[in-house]
Amino acid sequence: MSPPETVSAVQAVPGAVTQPASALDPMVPRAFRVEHVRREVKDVFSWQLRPLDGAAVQIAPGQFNMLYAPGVGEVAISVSGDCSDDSALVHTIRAVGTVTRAMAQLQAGAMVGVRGPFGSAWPIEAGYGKDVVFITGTVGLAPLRPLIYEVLKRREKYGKVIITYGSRGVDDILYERDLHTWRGRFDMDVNVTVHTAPTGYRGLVGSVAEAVNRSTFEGGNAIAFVCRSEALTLAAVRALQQRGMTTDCMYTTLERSMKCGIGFCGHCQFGPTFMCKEGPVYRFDTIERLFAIREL
Amino acid sequence: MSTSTVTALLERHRFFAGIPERMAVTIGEFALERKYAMEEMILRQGEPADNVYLVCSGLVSVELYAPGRDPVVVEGLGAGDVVGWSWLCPPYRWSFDARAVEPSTLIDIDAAGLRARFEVDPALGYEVLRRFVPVMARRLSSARERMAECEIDRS
Ligand SMILES: Cc1cc2nc3c(=O)[nH]c(=O)nc-3n(C[C@H](O)[C@H](O)[C@H](O)COP(=O)(O)OP(=O)(O)OC[C@H]3O[C@@H](n4cnc5c(N)ncnc54)[C@H](O)[C@@H]3O)c2cc1C
Ligand code: FES
Repeated sequence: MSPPETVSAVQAVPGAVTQPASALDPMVPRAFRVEHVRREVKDVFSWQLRPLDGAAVQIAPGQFNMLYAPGVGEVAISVSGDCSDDSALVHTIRAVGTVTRAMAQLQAGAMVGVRGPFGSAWPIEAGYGKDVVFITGTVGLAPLRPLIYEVLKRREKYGKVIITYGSRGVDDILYERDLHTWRGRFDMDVNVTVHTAPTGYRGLVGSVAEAVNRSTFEGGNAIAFVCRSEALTLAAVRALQQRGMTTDCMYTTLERSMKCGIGFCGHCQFGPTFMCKEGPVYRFDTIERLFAIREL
Repeated sequence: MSTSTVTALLERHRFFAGIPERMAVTIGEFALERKYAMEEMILRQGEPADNVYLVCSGLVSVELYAPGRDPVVVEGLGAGDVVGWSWLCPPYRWSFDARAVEPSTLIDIDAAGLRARFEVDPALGYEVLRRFVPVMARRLSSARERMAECEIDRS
């Protein structure tokens, strides 16, 4: 049986991969070993996963896998590592509930299941010739990091590259090493802002929207990739609009509880769109009206 | 520093960009340029809010003082920003501390004097308030955004 077609006015991001690249049954997890566990910040860790079958892994920035903790359950997690490495997967997970907390207990060497890749990808080429603005906060940097790596590999194809990242405090800044490296480059601006800080702190303190107001980019010739909690996406969109950007130049992600990942079960439905197929990456103008419907 | 020099500084500051010259000159009569060393306090929570400051250079942190613990920085302000709006609302007392975290240059305006001038020059009062209201709105929405993020993160 093939997955039902969704009746939808929402377009998947052009060029996005919406079906698992694997020829295997997309409902059957593939066995991976947790090769390395990295504690990032409180309650957040990254896994480097290697497939037991040794075959290549394929995933594009923005896509997600369903990760299975044996005997506990399965959760949707975006790829957070360099997608050009086809020998391993990197995922960054925040322990919030039953499955992710069980995952936090697993050590290197543990076996997990992986289904995917699923969903739409960030449209890397849509930003050619434009200033590129990344807006994110807390663990939202994870789904954007593969895109940032990719943009930096093709750096000459873009105008300014600006990352605006917000975290609650100075102790929960994700991927501090990456941010430090990027900040040291002369060809990009990295604005890290925190909600509050200890006295003497010399960085930015304030909201992400304020940091967007302060950054320098050409609103009329820019593309923005926004990855924040849905409740905060609009604040970022408004800040970008104030800088002269239109919503057809903004891409964002939506998140809903996922089960099948392939458009069968309807768990991820948001109005007319199934996020596991047409999302999680959307061009904002195609979903803007859904944000105004409170019942959704 | 002469009044005309401070007036020129005011006109160049982002907060007063495009202000009518007459008004810049009037505000200049209440203003002077001040330099703050690193770690120097600019204003203190609870004290009368009889001045208002415009940051020309450096970095100023707005801090919440709580007895028995280190202060918490809630806002970082740089060139082009304005420090404080408690001088506009009774009881005219600062609700935060402000400290220079880098050597900083500020325009210090005698807000008590300016408030009194608003009574006889309502057009000036309107012009200044018109510029302050968006600052207050931005800070309020920034605080709300951060509150919302804390709540969402906790769930
Ligand atoms: C496409 C997609 C990509 C994702 N990528 C990542 C990622 O890279 N890293 C990561 O840590 N998480 C990611 N998530 C969220 C992750 O799937 C959930 O946190 C996870 O399913 C929670 O499962 P649990 O059993 O641990 O918690 P549960 O017991 O199911 O829930 C615990 C708490 O977490 C909340 N919660 C559950 N799911 C979500 C969600 N999707 N968003 C926000 N809050 C939620 C619940 O409301 C509840 O309060 C992604 C979700 C989607 C849909
Ligand atoms: S997760 Fe089942 S339809 Fe999307």
